[in-house]
Amino acid sequence: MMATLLRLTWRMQRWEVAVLVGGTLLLAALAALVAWQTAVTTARLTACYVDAAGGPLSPDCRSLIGWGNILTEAGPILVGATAVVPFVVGLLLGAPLVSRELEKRTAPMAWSLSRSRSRWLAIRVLPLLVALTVALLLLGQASESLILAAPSNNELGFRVFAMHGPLVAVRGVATFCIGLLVGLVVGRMLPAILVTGVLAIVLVAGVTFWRGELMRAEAAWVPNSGEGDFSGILVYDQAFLDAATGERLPFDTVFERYPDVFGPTGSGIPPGMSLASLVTPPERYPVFVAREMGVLLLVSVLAGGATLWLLRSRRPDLG
Amino acid sequence: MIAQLRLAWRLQRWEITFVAVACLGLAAVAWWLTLDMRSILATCGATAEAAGAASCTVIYAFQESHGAPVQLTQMAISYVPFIAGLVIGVPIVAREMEQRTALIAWPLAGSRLRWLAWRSLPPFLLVLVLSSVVAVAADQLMHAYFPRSDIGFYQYADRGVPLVMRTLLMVVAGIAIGAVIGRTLPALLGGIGLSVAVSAGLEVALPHWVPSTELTLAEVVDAGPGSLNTDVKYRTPEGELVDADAGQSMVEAAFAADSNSEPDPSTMPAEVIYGIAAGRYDEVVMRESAAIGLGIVGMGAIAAFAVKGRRAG
Repeated sequence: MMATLLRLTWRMQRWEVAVLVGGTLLLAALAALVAWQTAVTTARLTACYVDAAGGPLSPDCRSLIGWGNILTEAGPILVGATAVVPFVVGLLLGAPLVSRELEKRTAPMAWSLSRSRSRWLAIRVLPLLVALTVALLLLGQASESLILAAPSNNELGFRVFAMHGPLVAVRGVATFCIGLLVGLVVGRMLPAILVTGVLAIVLVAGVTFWRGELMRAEAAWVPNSGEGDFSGILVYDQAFLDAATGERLPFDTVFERYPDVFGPTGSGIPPGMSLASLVTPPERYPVFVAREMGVLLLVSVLAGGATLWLLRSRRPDLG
Repeated sequence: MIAQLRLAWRLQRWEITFVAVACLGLAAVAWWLTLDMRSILATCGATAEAAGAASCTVIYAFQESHGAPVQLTQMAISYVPFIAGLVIGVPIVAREMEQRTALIAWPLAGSRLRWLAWRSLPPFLLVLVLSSVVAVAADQLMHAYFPRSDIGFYQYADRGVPLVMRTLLMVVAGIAIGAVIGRTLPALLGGIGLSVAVSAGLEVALPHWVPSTELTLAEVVDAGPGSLNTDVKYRTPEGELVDADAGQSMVEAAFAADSNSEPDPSTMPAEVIYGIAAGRYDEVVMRESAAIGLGIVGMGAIAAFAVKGRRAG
């Protein structure tokens, strides 16, 4: 019985599943391939430079540079796509799932044939949800490998937020669940896709704004340890720290107090002082990821629960 | 026609509302930004006579104050042809086939082609009007952002006639793909793929509508961001044209030969830029529009064949 129902689900949605889940898996495979090739090529190029010892590179090594450039250009494109794919897949799998059956008026018959509407929904939703989650988890993992394999800027941090790891899958699941709810409320497929798309944009804008505000609120003054130590991190403010008093002095005050230090021959750092930056500490990154995952999972549960509740209370003759 | 418009509205009110709100909203934002930039220029006395004022003569006058909103608006507008085209075009045939209402509508219409024409024409005209409103607003936005430049090919596809032509192409392509596949969601997925292909194809074709020529310094730099540069070469002091790699090697060699002083410019190869000058924008638009027009006719023919060839059952 279960196998029959699963087969029915596949038959009804084979186009979407093949294109969307298959496309996600293909993207994940491509990202993993590029990550592997980037690591191999970087290692071989490093060996080339060691062997050349400052002299000209061999023809083989020179041809490797071209391949390395292609991989370096492909990496950010694939990582960027990883940020978009969860919404597209979640939207196009979730929104039509119930709305299509309502639009075609096959839902009332299916509900009456099924033991319960909840069971009907579970059979429709769970296989897709599992396929979507697995595919997006694989994509998130492949993207993470790609980020780590890059020859530069290869740290996991705020610069690549939501472009790697399980957050990719959670974003897809949240969009899927919102799509389910909207599909049930709207009852027509294309409008459900449009409304879910708008809600997904609002959700992303909302969590991005909320994250920005939290990052600003939790920013702390961190002494600069060297040049470029905050590359890729949003610096909100900078000031000088007086080692003797522990006082933090704004730039303008220090410029006025030590004009010679900032002149053409000055060092740029007054004696007894050091530069400090107001940043969100990079080690807080996992906390922000966990928070967003928590919020999105809560949204998913609420949307899923509302879908179930609405489905049970919907009049059968209206579908 | 009124009856057809009413029918189109009844059948696609969600989609029409979405596209209309999106298009008119974007047009309103673009106009607001345009008027705001123009009022700033007006207050700084930037008339043609006062072109010497430093604050008003820079090409990127609004980059700091308006850069982000202008770019965001422009980016949203760049999706209009594909979103409006597919959202309106795909369901016209696909949904009627999916819901099997086409089986009743076709015999009632007398001819399937007449049915297709009457079902497609009102949404097509509606999209023509809406995309024209957006195209004019986007064009004015770019003219206001670069107040003293011939913007030529800058953001070529995202404003003016090219935007309208792309939107119309995607509406008809949406109708065709919906008629061929016969199911809304798969047709929508196919349409997204087709959008990427159309966008990339037209971008690749853009430098080829008219032959590239050697651009003068005035055409490249003084005119602003509008020229379409296609190739860079170097001309040696002997007058021979060499490719960019060879030219750069010669420049590097000249600097390496004497690290203490600047090389004599007369002994250095000069950079030569090839492309299409901003002034040839209208010529390119006409040719591209003709090609897209043919594409629209072709897509329409595909839709007609698909509808005509479908089994009635």
